[in-house]
Amino acid sequence: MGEVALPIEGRTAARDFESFFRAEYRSLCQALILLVGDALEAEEIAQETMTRVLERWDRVGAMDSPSGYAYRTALNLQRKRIRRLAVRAKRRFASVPVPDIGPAASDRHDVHRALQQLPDGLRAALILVDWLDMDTDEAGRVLGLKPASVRVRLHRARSALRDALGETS
Amino acid sequence: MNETKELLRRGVGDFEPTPDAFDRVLARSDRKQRNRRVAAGALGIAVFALAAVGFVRLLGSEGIPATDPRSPFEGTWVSTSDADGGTQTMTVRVSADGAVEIVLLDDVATVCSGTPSTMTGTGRIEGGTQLVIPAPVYTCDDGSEPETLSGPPLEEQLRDWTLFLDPQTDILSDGVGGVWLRPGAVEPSPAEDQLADLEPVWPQTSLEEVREAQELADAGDPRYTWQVLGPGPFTDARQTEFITRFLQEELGWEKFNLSDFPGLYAGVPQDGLWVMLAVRCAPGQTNPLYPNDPEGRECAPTIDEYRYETVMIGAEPAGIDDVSAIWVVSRWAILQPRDVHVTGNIYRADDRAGFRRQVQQLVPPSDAEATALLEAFLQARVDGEGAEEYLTPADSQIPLLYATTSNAPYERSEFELVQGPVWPGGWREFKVRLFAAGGSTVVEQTFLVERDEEGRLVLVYGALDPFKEVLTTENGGALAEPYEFLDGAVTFAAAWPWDWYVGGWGFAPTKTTLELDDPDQQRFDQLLALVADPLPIERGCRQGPAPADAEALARSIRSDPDLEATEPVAASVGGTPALKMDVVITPVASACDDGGAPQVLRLNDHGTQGVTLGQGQRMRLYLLDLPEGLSARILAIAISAPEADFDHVIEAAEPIVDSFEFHAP
Repeated sequence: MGEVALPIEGRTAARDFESFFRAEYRSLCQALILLVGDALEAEEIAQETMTRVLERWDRVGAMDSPSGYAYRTALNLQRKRIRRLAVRAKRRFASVPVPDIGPAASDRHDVHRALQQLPDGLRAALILVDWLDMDTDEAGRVLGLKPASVRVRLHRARSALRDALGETS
Repeated sequence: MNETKELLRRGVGDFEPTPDAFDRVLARSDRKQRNRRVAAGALGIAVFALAAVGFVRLLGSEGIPATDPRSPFEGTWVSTSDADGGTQTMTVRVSADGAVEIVLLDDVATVCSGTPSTMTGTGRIEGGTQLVIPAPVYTCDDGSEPETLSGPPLEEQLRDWTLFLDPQTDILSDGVGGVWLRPGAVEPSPAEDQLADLEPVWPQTSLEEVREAQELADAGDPRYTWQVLGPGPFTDARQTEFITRFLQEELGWEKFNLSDFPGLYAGVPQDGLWVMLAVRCAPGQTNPLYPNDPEGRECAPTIDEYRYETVMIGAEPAGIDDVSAIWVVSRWAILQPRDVHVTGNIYRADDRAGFRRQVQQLVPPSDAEATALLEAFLQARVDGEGAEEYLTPADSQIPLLYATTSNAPYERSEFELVQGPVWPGGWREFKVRLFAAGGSTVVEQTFLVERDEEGRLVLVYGALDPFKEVLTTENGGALAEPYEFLDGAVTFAAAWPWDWYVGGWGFAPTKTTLELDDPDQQRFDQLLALVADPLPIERGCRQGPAPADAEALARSIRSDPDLEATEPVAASVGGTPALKMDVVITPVASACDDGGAPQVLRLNDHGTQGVTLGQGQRMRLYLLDLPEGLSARILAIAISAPEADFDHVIEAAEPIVDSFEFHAP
């Protein structure tokens, strides 16, 4: 990594943030891909999320669950769903995705389509618990819900996903 | 792995983040700060760092006095790079006549079958930074004959044994991997020695040339100092002589543009590698498609009327984290019209990120085209149907598409061009205004007009500024976002810059907190907290009994000797009757164990979390009895801020307080 023009105090903090980033970023991107159904858009939201975490790292880093805050931020950003010009411009001018063909791609599209049919609240609960392995207490803190409410949403989401994909339990 | 997780795994596919993800976050944060115009401090530090580098270099070059070039080498040195695990200790003595004598002890010498060895020699210091021992004498301490494992005889291998001094770091190196430090000095991490992986192609083409150039640059030689970029990746590529010279001297490009258009940062740092994209502009010509965009106007395409010769450049320093390191171009590629895979040339590892294409400018929408599209879109919104068909993507969720927040339909509209067309995508940003209720309500939104992949004109809810937070306002205010509490039984709305609180968690099933999070202020002490069924606090931070209703809670708060509370008065929270009172803490208030600050209320969850208030702060409390059927009986809304900001924060919170709704099952 190159030299970074951060305030002196920020340099130590940035090192801690880097550890957090390395540990969480991939999972965050994957969760967002499931949430929004588009890798480029997911990375854009993940980048903005981590930027906000970095800007507040002196406080977020001291929290019990910095990742919980990151996911909460990501969900808020996803909810706004502003299709940033950067995403479209990148698609158009810079990063040309590998052709998405074959059985794996078809599978992926099916899952994305099924997920997108779920209401936002159900989809978020499903991803936090079933993909990120949060328990319902932690997912409840991210979503601002009681654990029992998370479990209800989770049950509905799983059923709806299986129905949409034509799979049996 | 559970069944659902396996399903979700199919949705993720083989996604891996790009290797430059972390550096892009740093760059993004840096750009955001600049955009907010609060980066004076950071820029100052960057400038200071550069100045400091220059100063250190000055010290480095002047720290070896011409009259006495001996002292930097004199003393004891310890090798950090003895491959056989032994320790090599070298003593250097410099006599008055300038002669140098060394004694090098190795406690485990491979060439002596693992026994200790001694090397002695006399030599000279050259150029202030090189110590040359023409004919070292190497002996095994046990009297055996040293035996080399390969190559020429040992005497020949050691002839003109040379050590290079880095005056900045006080490190000696022998040019073939051997490194010597002062006793007790910190060993540099292996990652900092990037030279082994460096494959320079310009302006130096070998590691030897790089080392030599680095030494001369360190000595202030102007033939090489232009290769020192300081904190390189955060330097604007367009401002560096280094990149300019590469494009001019190596590629022969007279005129060029280092693209900085949305989505492509001119220089993307990536694990020490600085990747940037440049397009060639036709010299002596202007670009007829973008007469009003300063950047686009000056860059006419070179291949045909749309396409540009495009180069992707990878540059890296001869030493990561070393701001005095010289930079070299280590890879570059001319991109082709479509989807060229340049892995292995530009990128080190990530195949997926290696797909790049030649830059091709788009024909910007004409005034007439953009006007026709916007007029049709806005007329559909006034008509109350059909506006969605003009939007991309089709499922765009545009706030207040057909009516204001009070559900008043739109009566008329207008729009104005904010910026554009912007090269090379032809983006135009418009501000649209929709008027309702006889013009008393005005909704403003920002849209981009651009061309899609098929060349069709489309309308996108967005802005050219990638960090713009507010795209919709009503009568000048940001649009409130919906929030839920108690599993949706309590709802309210808050507009940016109110946002979720960061400090501590701020969240629990019976508590949620927002902060007035204006990024320009970076203030984190202006809070609005909701607590369901709070408990009062008694002297000494003892938890009081659960109150029967809001009025009882108000009485308990007033009786707390640690607090000074006003008489509760009747108020309204979203139309529901409430009690309102202001609270400050007394100078002798008891600090609570968990947070060190006095608490006004405590959560009813058997823990010690609560709502705290510091000295010099004031809190406005709204206390109300919730409707029957909800999972809680009492709601407290606690708005706190430093005294000086209190009125401002209360005013900003008023719309939130008014927006509360309660939904009994």
